[in-house]
Amino acid sequence: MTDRPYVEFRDVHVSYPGQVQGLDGVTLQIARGEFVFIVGRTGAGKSTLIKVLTREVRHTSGEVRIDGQEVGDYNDRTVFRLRRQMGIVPQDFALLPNKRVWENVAYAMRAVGHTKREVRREVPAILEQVQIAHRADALPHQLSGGEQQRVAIGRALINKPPLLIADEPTGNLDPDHSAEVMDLLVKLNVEGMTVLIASHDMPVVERYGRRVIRLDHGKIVEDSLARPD
Amino acid sequence: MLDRISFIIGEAFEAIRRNLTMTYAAIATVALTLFLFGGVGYSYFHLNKLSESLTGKFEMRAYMVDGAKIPQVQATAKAIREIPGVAVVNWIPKDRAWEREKAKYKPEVTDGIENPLPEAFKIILSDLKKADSVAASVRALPNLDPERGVEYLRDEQRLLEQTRSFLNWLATGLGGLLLLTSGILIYNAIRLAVFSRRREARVMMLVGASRFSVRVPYLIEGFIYGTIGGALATGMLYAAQRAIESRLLDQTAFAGLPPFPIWLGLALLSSVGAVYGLVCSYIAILVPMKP
Repeated sequence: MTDRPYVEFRDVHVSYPGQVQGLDGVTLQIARGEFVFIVGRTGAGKSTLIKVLTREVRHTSGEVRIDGQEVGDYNDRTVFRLRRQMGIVPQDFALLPNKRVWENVAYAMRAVGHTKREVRREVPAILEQVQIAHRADALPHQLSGGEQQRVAIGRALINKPPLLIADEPTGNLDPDHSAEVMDLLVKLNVEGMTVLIASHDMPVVERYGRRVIRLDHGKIVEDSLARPD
Repeated sequence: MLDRISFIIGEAFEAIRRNLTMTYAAIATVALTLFLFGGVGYSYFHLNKLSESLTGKFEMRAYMVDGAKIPQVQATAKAIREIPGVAVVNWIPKDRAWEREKAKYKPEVTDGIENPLPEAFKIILSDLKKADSVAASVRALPNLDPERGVEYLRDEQRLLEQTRSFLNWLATGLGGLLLLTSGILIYNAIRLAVFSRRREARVMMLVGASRFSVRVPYLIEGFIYGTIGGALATGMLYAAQRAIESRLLDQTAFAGLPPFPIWLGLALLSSVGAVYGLVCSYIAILVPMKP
């Protein structure tokens, strides 16, 4: 074990064309196993922060490290190695509409090089883990929003990543389904996964009482620690 | 490994299946382009062979003025050898030529006739295209007969050159246009495939599929378009040759064209098509496939 932060931003700036600041001097540290909400209004920089971590956006200056490795060191050819260290749950779920639940997970596994045998063995376990095994043969449009989100989370787990990043995971869900999804994310965190969630769903953020980093105009304006259980 | 290959090839065929119309269009255009290129190339190859053999056979005769002396003959032969495009110069002594002529007739026909032939040269060209300029240069030499001067098959040579330049024009002009069209069609087909499979590509990138896994199916798609197009073009060329041959055989005492090298054609045109398809699809995926 090391005291090194698992995720670290040091004076990170992201500038978009037209003088738009995505991030403006962000410095933060996230320890391994933490559960962190990134909150803020639309345009505050939440998605930019997440995209810098996934290297969909390159930071203009500063340092971004995951487990000590500078994210900017990954180029287009090697960025897949970075992405295999994290599970990414996009806001729109990004499920394949013509594939069944199990096929959505299987397809992702095949894409990263798992054999058919591995897929047959691991997909049921992943679907169990995210509590969607009973809908394995359903198509995405036959699922509720919460169920679709669970499939997306299941797909994010195929590489057994130590870090899970979710962009507005409850953004399109009603309160019941939001709670289901959040409970699942908490469960994964309890099992040891570092979880980073961008959200503007303040009731959910407050209910779970975890560390909250608030962004505004690309700057961190608040970093509150988790409530003691 | 086989598992991996089957996944990637399966992805390529899935992309093709989703864009059947574009697939047909791309393959048909590649086939047409390669048919034209292959046809022109094949005809050009045969014309070249013909012109090479003609060049070897192609002779000019240059005749000297009556009464030319040996030193003049030697000087003229030397001057002709120095003209660009001339391969061989042989002196045909008038006495030997007359002996040869006389041998063709009964002695009573030629007896008593004084040798009417001048000193002459047989000139073999190294480059058929230079026939006219060689003739002009030889004609300009002193001691050449102003009337007979130089004799050669000017019209045949011109026809051959005109055909070659027409084929050149056809290949570069029309062929270039078709090449561009088929390239754009392959590019569009791949862009459509990328668009129709953007969700899959996004999922692949999200979960950490390598650039190879994401891109190769589209490259395979272009490769397949090109290869099938090349194979079809070979079949079309074969059919075209057969059709031309049977038409000529019906109407003339034509002995037949040399057999079409179908396997060589297949290998060559499919390879060219495959490489072309790969290049076009690579260009097509450069921008939308940024991770």
